[in-house]
Amino acid sequence: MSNIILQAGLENLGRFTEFVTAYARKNGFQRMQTDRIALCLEEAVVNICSYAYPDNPDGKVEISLHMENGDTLIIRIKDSGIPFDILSQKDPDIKAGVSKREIGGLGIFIIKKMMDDVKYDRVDNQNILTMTLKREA
Amino acid sequence: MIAGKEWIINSYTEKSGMGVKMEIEHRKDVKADIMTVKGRMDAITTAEFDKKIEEIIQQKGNTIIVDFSGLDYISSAGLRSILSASKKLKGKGGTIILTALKDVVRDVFEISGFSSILTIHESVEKALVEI
Repeated sequence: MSNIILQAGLENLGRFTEFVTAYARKNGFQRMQTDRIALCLEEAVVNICSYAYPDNPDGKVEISLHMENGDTLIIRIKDSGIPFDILSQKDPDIKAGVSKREIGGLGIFIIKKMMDDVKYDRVDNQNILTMTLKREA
Repeated sequence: MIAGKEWIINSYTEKSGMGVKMEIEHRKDVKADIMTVKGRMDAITTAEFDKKIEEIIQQKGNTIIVDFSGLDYISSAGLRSILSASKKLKGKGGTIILTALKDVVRDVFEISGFSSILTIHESVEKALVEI
């Protein structure tokens, strides 16, 4: 298990991403998949930075990583911000044309499409987002 | 210098602690403004893309071709930026054309449905022929 806790700020996005992709690479994930991991990581972390701590500049994000069955990466992203079930958001209308297409909802949609599984839990006053990705042969 | 083309090259480079993250170059062709974006378009670097596109639109650039052959990464922040620019240009009767999407960038455009609603070509050259 590997862990990192940093302030929920965009200035830490690079460190969060490097932490997770380095762990993935070490466990045999190739470029195509580590690119997707980095992207989903960004979407989740940016959501927290933007919305979780409206009154608290010191709010933190904790990321825990471990492998299951030797080939599956489990990424757990925790924050102590306001309750927010990111999975409850409606999917964007991906067929809507440019004029009608709305700007929001993309981040979580991307995570749902690119990860094998995504789960949200609210435990002990924390939002916990768990993303799962199996390593491609 | 090719007759009939006006070259204005300016370049913006966004650096992070880990080195260069995004570079933007801009030149004018007779038919379009051409932006070359290399590196990463993420929640941090996208602001500079916004600024640059806005400048071009303010200078009455109505047809913008974006060369993404050197773009390694784009997140929803980048997609939102492009959609925003697209809506703005559409309102002025203009257009934005994206070219040379590859790897995870191409994936993201497809997954989000953006590849169906935006004009995408294989290269700047192909886009110029189509205008």
